[in-house]
Amino acid sequence: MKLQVTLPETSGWLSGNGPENDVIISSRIRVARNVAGFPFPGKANGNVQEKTYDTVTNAVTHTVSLKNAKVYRLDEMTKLERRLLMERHLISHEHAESKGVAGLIIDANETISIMINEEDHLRLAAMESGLALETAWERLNRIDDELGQIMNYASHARWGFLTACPTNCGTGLRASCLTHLVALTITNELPIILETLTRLGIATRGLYGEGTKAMGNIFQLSNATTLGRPESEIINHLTQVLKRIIRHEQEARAKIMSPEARIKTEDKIFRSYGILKTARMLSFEESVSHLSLVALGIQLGLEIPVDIASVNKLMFITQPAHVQVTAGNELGPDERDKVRAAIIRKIMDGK
Amino acid sequence: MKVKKETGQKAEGKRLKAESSMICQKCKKNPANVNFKGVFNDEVVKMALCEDCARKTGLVLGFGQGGADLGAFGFPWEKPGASLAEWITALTDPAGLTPSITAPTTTRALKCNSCGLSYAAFKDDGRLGCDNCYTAFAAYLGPLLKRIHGSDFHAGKAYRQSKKAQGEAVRNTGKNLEQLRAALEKAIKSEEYERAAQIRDEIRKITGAGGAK
Repeated sequence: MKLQVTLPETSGWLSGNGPENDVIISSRIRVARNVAGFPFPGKANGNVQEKTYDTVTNAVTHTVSLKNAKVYRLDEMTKLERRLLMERHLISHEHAESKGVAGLIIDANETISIMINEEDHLRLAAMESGLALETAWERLNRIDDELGQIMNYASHARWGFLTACPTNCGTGLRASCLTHLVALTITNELPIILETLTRLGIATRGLYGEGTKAMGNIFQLSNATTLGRPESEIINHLTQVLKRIIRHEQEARAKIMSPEARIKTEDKIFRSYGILKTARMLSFEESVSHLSLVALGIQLGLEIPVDIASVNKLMFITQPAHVQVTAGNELGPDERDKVRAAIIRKIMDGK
Repeated sequence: MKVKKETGQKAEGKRLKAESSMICQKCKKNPANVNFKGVFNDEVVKMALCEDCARKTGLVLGFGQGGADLGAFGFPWEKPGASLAEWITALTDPAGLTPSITAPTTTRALKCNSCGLSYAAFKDDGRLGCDNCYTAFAAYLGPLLKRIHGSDFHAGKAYRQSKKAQGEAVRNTGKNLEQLRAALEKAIKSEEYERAAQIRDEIRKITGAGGAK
């Protein structure tokens, strides 16, 4: 299998060394931008999409901050490759499924990416490990400033940056974190917390963002609105809310390890470990839910002979497209489940 | 955004009533038998859909399969939230929006003079066609933005287009368009419709929007 994209084994933002990494897997800031005077991608014909692609890639080559970035054409890629990029959180589900001229720009360690011709002409994103929204914004803001001087963004005096969907206009900024809220799920406190979050203007989404499922007790939390508040305030608000959620999750972790609950918790965790260590077929959804519990066990100090870095890596490399790339072949669902189980067993055995 | 399926007797009554009298707001074909209430910036938005559309929209919170048995604890969400764009249809409901006084009385005929997108088409999928749509639909978008964001005033970083932009094609196109659009607005204001039509055609030539819907 020949791939256009060559990616390192894992992404920079998955290092597991970021602040509050026990609960917050990663932080991401994205801004939506459009080129002034061009119809938005969804309403543009092939020629205009092509022109947009050239304009953006041309502008990027003139930047200092992205001079080492790689440029890819998504419409020249196979479905599997697009899916691989989605699993890496480099493109959205919508972008992976796009039918028109679409592109992706990524920097060397995969922490900066630009989607071209997604819902908007540009979706610039920065990712960091752990809770580090401010760091991500500082990096992204510089790149955004530089690009905005090289090309002209669509903007409005009153409504800020203009976007294809009015839900994104203004700052065009979506700050989000992938959070591992496993203990809150076990104690059944999560529904109440998520309901409260709605009222605080925070949206909850699944593993791959908008319109996707939550798996492995991983939830994406982000600001729901983009207009009316400065970027720093949006980011600060989300950070403060997340700090509170971390506290709730830590309290829930203490609760499930209380003398009366401990044995049940340990039982669940070791059952999951047992399945991962012995199963011959595992779907991604099943394996990621067990990996979630095993990660929790390690963080709670239970005697599980695997380190957290290996578990984090497994959550990543057992995704469907990753499994197929590892196998070097396109595989059907059953074959995938077999290969996935083998990959997991090997690491769970400490080999 | 909170999506809540109404339950209980009261909801059942409402559902029956909806079934007999309403058609789905999305497909406008099947009877609407699923009622949703969403809270959007403290405003309640209601939607009546058929089951098919509700599922497609992601408003039905289903349950995933497989995975670790979390017993009574498990609540795997199929889709933790509907796409925001889906809500625009509900939010642009004429009964709920009070456009500013300059708005044309019929929204059906309202069109963007640059990309040709009609306001009706925007309402259908929640996506605008180009940056000029914001000007063309300004009278309606102001109140809509306020409903979505709780504000209709950008408070984030100020952006000024660069005069030194290196991407010549972009800059020129962008700049010309800006001038043309200003001229267009002026022509419309002074009721020089013939001139306005000419300018509109020029804009279309640049944006290549002729083929867009």
